[in-house]
Amino acid sequence: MGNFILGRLLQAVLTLFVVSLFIFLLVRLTGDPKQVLLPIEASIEQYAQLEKALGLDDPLPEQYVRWVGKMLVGDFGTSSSRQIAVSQLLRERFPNTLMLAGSGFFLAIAVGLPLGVLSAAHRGRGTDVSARVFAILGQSMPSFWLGIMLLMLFPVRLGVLPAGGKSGWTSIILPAVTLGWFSTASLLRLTRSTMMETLSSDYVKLARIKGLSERTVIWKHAFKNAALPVLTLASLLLFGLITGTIIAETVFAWPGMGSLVLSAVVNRDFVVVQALVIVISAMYIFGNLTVDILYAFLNPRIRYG
Amino acid sequence: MLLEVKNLRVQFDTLMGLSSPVDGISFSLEKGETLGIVGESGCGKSMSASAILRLVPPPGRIVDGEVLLDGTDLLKASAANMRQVRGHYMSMVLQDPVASLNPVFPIGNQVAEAVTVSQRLRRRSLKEKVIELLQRVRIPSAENRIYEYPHQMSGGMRQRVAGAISFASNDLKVLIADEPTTALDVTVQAQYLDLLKELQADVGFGLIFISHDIGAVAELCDKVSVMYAGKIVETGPTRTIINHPRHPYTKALLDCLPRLNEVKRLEPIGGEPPNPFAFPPGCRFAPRCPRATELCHTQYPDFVQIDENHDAACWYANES
Repeated sequence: MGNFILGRLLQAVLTLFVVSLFIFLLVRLTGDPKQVLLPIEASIEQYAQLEKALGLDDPLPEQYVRWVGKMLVGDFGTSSSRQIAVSQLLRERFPNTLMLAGSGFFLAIAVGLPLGVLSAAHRGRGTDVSARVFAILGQSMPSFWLGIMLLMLFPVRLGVLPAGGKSGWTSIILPAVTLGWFSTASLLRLTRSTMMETLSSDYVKLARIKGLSERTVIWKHAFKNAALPVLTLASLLLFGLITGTIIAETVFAWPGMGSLVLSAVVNRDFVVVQALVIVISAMYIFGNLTVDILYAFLNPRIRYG
Repeated sequence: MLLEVKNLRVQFDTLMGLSSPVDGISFSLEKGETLGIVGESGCGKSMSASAILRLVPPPGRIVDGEVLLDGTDLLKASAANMRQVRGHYMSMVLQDPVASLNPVFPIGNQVAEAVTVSQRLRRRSLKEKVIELLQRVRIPSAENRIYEYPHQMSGGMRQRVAGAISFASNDLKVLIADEPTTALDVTVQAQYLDLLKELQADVGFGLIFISHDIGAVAELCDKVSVMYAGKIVETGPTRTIINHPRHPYTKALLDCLPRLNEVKRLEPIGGEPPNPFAFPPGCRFAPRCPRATELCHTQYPDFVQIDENHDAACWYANES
């Protein structure tokens, strides 16, 4: 198990290295930041000056090494359009996005999983029917529409819960529901179907033959097997939630990264784009690593494969 | 009488209609006795086994009958009592050894779980008991293998582990083996059957051996019930059934078997088993029976007693 984790860790670091190369090159291939930053009538000297100031006149390998070296000590450069340190921008915005995505994910796990299991265990009965209605609603409502409907119902009509911004813990409820309902529904449905499959398997039958209680049969024998595909989906959903916060952030004026990414791309603020993309990539890669390790923990066939 | 099954009926209410894969079967089993249940795939053998343990999968239900274990009707027992019965007195070996062990737990763990249902043991003695059970089913170097996962073992070994789980209880009374050797190759099959016999002699449980392999049944069983389309059509001592079958279906089954000491053409049974959603009104074998008459097609035959222990449900059982 130790070797397995170490191997995957090295793999992750290697992936991150390759990704950083790609980001570095792509940002330099897709447009010239100087043209956005300087007025059209700027002179060639001004261009050269700016190039020097941004360090763009150095050879590419040197630029790359400098970029990575600075990042390793927490220096992500300075935003050219906002004139503040990117690390500060990240510090302000990133925790908010993470918190929102995390709440959406928590909602999906805390509601989707148990409801999916119950739904499979009580197939065809009341619990099952209501869980499925809940899931179908979640999967068929577009999140911008859901967000607006929630806004109209709770803050506007009923006068409860804040309508937007970030103020106290109640302000996260509506954006989190907007963001998380879809994931909750997907997780619920997948959990239900994989649980139905494992519940009709021979090893579950044998567990019942042993005389084990229904709770042990469902949560130990069936669920641990059903957990594998569910875990895969959960990790995919988590990544989707991190990048998918833009809509919820917009509807509820949540001070996250969504708007930041957009404006940085439009303004060719390559320092910010570079930084955000590498941070998000790192999250993906280490998120995947965590999932791989969890997988091996749950599934002996991977551990010894 | 150890186990008595009376008029057991299982019904499935599905979108395609009502179906009774087990349609009023009765049989009995004494202590230490072995009963074989034979029939084609889909005749209701396995469903009968599940029904005896009250493990019919939904949407199936047991709608009628009695399952008396030492005189107590299990169909009237509470769910908790039924779990106790499964943990202590009745158990079952499933057909597919690969599928019947849980892939994500070490096998020692899975055997231990079965032990703890019927016995309170400390960690240390629990481990000893698990190793002892595995040794009893002839698993070599059992003390090392308890940490292995099912995928690390061969099919035969897994079947043995499943076996060890089935007789984990000290007071096992009835063991149902549902085609335990179908998934194994022939040499392993023979070993496994020997093992079953030996354990039965040791423990003295009643064994219900379900199989479509009349050869294996002949070797192992004291008496045989032949099942067709949800009903038992003939019951009797193994020798009698094999040498003097009275029901045309039993005869047909035996004609499919190759014999060592004679050279003859194997006769497959013509036609197909009836659709379980539309059983024929009369004898269910009539559409495939070479001797069927008008009577056979319209009325279901009652059991005809041929000998003290030999019954056949055929209008013409007493002829020939």
